[in-house]
Amino acid sequence: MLQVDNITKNFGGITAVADVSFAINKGEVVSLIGPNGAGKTTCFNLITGFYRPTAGRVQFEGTDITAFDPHRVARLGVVRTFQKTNVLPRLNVFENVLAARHLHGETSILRAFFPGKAVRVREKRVRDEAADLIETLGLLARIDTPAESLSCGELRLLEVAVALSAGPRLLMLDEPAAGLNTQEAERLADILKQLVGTRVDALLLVEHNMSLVMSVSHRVVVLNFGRKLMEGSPEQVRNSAEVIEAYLGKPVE
Amino acid sequence: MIFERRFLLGALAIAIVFPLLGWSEYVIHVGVLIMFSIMLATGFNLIVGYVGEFSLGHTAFLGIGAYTAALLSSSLGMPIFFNIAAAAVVAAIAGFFIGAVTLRLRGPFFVIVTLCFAEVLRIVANNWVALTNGPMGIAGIVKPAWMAQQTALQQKIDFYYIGLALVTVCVYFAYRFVYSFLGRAVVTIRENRFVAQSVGIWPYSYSLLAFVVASAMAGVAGAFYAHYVSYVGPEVFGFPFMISMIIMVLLGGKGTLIGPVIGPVIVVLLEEYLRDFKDLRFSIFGLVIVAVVLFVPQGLMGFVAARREQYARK
Amino acid sequence: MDFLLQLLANGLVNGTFYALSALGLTLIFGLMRVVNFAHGELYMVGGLIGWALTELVGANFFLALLIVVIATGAAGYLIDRWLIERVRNQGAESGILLTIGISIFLTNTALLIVGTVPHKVLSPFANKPLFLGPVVLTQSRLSIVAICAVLMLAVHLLIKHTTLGRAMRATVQDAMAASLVGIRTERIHGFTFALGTALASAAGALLGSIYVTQPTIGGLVSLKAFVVVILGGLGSFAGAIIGGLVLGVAEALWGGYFATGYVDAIGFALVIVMLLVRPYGLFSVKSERA
Ligand SMILES: Nc1ncnc2c1ncn2[C@@H]1O[C@H](COP(=O)(O)OP(=O)(O)OP(=O)(O)O)[C@@H](O)[C@H]1O
Ligand SMILES: [Mg+2]
Repeated sequence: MLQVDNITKNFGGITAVADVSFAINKGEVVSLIGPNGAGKTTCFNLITGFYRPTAGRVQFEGTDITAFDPHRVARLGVVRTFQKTNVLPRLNVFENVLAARHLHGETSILRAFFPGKAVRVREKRVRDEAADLIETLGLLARIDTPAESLSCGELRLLEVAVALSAGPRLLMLDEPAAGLNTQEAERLADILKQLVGTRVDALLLVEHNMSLVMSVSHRVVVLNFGRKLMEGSPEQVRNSAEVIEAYLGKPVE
Repeated sequence: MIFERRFLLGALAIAIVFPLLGWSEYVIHVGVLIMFSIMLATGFNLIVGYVGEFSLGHTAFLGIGAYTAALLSSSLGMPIFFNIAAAAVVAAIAGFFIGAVTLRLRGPFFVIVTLCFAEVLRIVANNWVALTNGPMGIAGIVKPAWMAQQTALQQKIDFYYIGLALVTVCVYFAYRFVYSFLGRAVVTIRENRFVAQSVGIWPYSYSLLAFVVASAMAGVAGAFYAHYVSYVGPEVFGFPFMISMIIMVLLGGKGTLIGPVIGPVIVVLLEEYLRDFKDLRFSIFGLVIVAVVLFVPQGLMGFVAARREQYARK
Repeated sequence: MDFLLQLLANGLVNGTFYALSALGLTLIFGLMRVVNFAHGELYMVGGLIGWALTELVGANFFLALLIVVIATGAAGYLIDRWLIERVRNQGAESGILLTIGISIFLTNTALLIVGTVPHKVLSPFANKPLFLGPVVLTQSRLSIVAICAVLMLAVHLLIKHTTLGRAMRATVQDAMAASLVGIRTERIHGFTFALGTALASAAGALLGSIYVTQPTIGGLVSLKAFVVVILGGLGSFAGAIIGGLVLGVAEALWGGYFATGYVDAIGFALVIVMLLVRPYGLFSVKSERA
């Protein structure tokens, strides 16, 4: 589905991402891992059009999306979350999920000002779908709660819900388990495993929680200092000396 | 949503009945000023309250609308309703082009550059004597023919109802805008631009649409004003109109539909009341703005009536 | 040719004045992220105090300038601590509205006190023409240009090379970190606003000896200052100087060769044109993080 070829990004002097390539196939969960500052978030920004790559190419289902604006990338079915905040803090859970369903609720401008029955039916459907999604993620009890008053665990779920609500084919999550305890992370892992094949076609995950990564991914791509260090199955990555070194530093000789 | 709709319909009912209570000419005049201000504030609020960008150049469209109506009326003798519609269209077109340029910027840059546009137009209105009659302005815009035989009071009442009809149209459009996918999109942009883009919303296009609708409303207000006072001069582009718009929307509560309705009522009444203080009233006005920013930053309606949606459970 | 040189000279002189009168604005934005819409009114207040001291009290020009700087600086400090501090970190809009309120108050209060008559600050510099080759300039203008240059240099040194200046720059970069290393950021903000205020009113007092000062000029001064800082890049010190010179020269050339009626629109037209080319000013780097 997604094909990333040799993307590079320089910020003034520093090279945040250098010559990185990988691919994601339909039905796969791929994780992108690496120490802090390795360039994972930058990769997300490059794929989804928030940054323009200095060099390289990104293709989605055969379409070259390298120079696309973020909203066009989303329209094609690639939706990402943000590491910092991925919600509209002052709005409630329902409004958040509904807002993200934008592409399914669009009508012509004329119809917006003079809505007929068709528009109302469609609006109803979009609302039902949003509520349905909230229920799936177990947030129904909090449907009227403003996002800013959710607990950390609920907030992470809402972030996933917001991204899912946009109807992605490829979902890209940037540290969805940050700040979660073990129990909450396991629950999230269960949800993520069920997503592929039902709600989305493929999942790209950036995450520091290794047990989550190892339990959900089919394939893992490791970045270090902006370069691709290795790619392989969770087992291969777990046992790679290179990867351990990247995370823990060189053992003292 | 329900609360806002009920409030607005109730206000409409009161506004319809109001002139029948035997008021003086002066009171009706104040009512007309309120109608004019509501049109202006409702449009301006779409930008400030929903898109969340702060324009200081909205008088550009007020002035464009006023001059369009004045020119159509004085040189071609066109009737009032035609002029108002034409003013809406011309202001919307101007809004499209000015918005297309200025909305590439955000924050303080947007603020200052919109102000620049209004200033350029003011200077043009002052200097392009052949078209605008320069600083003298265009006087003697004729009243509608049916008003010829009427008393001054009846004329004001007619203007009041024309104003009320236009306000109703403007608020209807604002309501539909806010409570459709359009409003949802601009609120998403306002709350988090990055999230909006990540779910497929193109901020530029929706901001521009809001800008165009707001411009059209300012154009309508300008045309209405031109016919009411039967004079238009370069000062319609000036900063004082901008200041009143800001205070009205802010005091009423930006990002609500009710705010730009009650804000103008309060501000116009306050302005009339402060007339007794002569020049001191402008100083007081400055302090009022400072006080609003410090003490009621959300405006009077900010907490009650912000755009809210709930899922109706079966 | 001589005509062109004369226009350029006039433009550069006016440009220096524009630069000076925009400096306070760009400083407050650069170091506090506040767009000060009362900037022109602070300039006006400086001019009026300067006039009152030199004309009514009979004070010496430089003494008057010193008093203006100290008095308005103190007022600026209080404005920041009493008003602006309350809306800090609430986004650009609150600061803009607050300063608009202050500007309306200042203009109209000044109108109540001194009326609409234009006033002039008395300066010791003669209005004698000086002939520099083909170019004629008055002695007073050249003297004021020299004072402007000294003032700009002083502010530059203050910001770049003193402890206070370093604290100011640290505070704008990261107020949290600055307060962790012991900088009292609230006071620093106060001093920054005081400095911007003092600069604005010093400009008003200086230029009040060349142009006239009246309560209603604030709006025009603010607008020109906005043009200058947008041209140069909001918050950039060097940008304000370049922006001022560009505006001064552009206005002089336009006024000399084309219509004088539209001179005031030149700056705005430049801003709009530049917007299409380099949206965030000549001297600023736009950076945004997702
Ligand atoms: N907009 C930017 N401007 C300048 N440098 C940037 C920008 N965005 C990222 N960088 C730099 O690029 C490098 C990679 O950052 P990135 O955010 O992609 O890391 P990351 O792998 O997501 O780290 P983390 O696990 O901490 O989220 C860092 O050195 C960062 O400072
Ligand atoms: Mg990251």
